[in-house]
Amino acid sequence: MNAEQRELFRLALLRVLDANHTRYGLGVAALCHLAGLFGFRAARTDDVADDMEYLKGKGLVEEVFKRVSRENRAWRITQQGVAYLDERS
Amino acid sequence: MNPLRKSRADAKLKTLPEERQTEIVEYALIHTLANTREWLRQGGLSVNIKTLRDFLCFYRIQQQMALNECTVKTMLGELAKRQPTQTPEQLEQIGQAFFTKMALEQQDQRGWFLTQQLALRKGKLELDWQKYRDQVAERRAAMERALQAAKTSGGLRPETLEKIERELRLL
Repeated sequence: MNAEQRELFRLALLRVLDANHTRYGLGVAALCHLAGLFGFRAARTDDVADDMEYLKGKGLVEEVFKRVSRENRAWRITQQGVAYLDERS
Repeated sequence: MNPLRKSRADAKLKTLPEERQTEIVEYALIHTLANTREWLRQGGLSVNIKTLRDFLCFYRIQQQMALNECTVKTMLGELAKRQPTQTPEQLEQIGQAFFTKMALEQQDQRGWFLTQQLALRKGKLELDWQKYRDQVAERRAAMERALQAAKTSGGLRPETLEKIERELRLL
């Protein structure tokens, strides 16, 4: 992915998280699967994991149930992430 | 929904009332994006295709996630009854794991909806066809009764009787 595609992919991940209004987070595999609805059907879980770290660093997403094992990490969007997304809609 | 988690007021579609959002999604299921956009424009709401497409994905995921959460909640309730030794933390982890697993099995809702719509339409067509056949049968029976009465009383000319019989054969 080039820089522009990467940016769009991160936005797609945020959009997926934005649609999840439940108390549960979404894991990397689920995010990878659901990003396909936004056109990223060939996404790899490694890329998703990297991008979640990046988005976490920006304060746009956060982990839920941090006591869950590292392989089963789950994510949700922050209020800052919602605002970031809406600015780009 | 988390009350602290709000969309910006200028997020046109996501801030519409729930019923209106549902209406838009239902319309979009059986119309193209361009048609849906035009329909919205006629209703006084201008959005671009990308915003509309993103909204539709957003809505579908949102509904599916809410449904999945309900399923997980029910399942955890059953599990807590059967295995009362499970701690709330363990149940929380199991719930999270199931929720993620269910998200992976997201179904093609559009395909399902269209199949249901087609089945409904087929059912309606069959019903209409049955109604039509019933009406024809009633009309034929009424004409046959009238014809029989006319033959008995002898009040009709032979040409008229022949004409009615011809029409009856056509039904």
